[in-house]
Amino acid sequence: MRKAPTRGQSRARRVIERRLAAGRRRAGTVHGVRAELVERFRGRWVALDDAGNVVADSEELGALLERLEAAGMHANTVQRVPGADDPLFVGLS
Amino acid sequence: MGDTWVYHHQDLGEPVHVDGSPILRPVVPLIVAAELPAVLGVLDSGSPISVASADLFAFLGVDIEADDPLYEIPLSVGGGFERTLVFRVRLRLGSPGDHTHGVSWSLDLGARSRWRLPFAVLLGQRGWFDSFPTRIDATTSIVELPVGSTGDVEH
Repeated sequence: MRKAPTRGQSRARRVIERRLAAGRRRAGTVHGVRAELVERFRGRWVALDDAGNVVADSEELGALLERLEAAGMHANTVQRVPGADDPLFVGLS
Repeated sequence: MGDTWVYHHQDLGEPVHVDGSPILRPVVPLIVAAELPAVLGVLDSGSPISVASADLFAFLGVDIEADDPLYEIPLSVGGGFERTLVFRVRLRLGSPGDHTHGVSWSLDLGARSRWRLPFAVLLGQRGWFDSFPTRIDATTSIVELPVGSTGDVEH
């Protein structure tokens, strides 16, 4: 059972949301996987349309790009949705 | 006098911070081939070099099994360790939003197999910051890039 956020956590999220909104106004369209699709595609490479919907997915980046190229499928960006147990990347060493 | 391109940090679906706020990465869209969607490059000023998923190199015209690399380095990234082949490639930075404009540049890029990061390219000091004067503002979660200082914008 997930705990309800504390007042401090809620405040931090509101600050982040305000910054995101300010950034969107300045930077234009935001591209990224839609939040409700993250769990479904964990650990997979996904091609996203302009609204953040998944138009194609694959376990491997190369296979996904080959498929998009062969099908002439339009997508805006490609990213990998992190697996649930993936470690957090903090840089090269 | 050139334009300034502004990129918004992105939540790539990584686990949230302990306070519940999302992890936001400074990302830019990179075009590897005209008919393909952009892949994401994360800017990392602490990284001395730039590296990418080995899967990208075929689309950049490099056969990592047959072509001679510029050099080879031992490297750890994302928890893995292996010798990494570095090739000279050409990438295109897409403009914010629709990526309809772009700036192409050449860089030395390491090819990493078993890449499991949410972005396809890690852009470091060599390969990005030595080519693009970049301002990363974590207080407003934006990346600012004065495009006029980096060369001609392609349409």
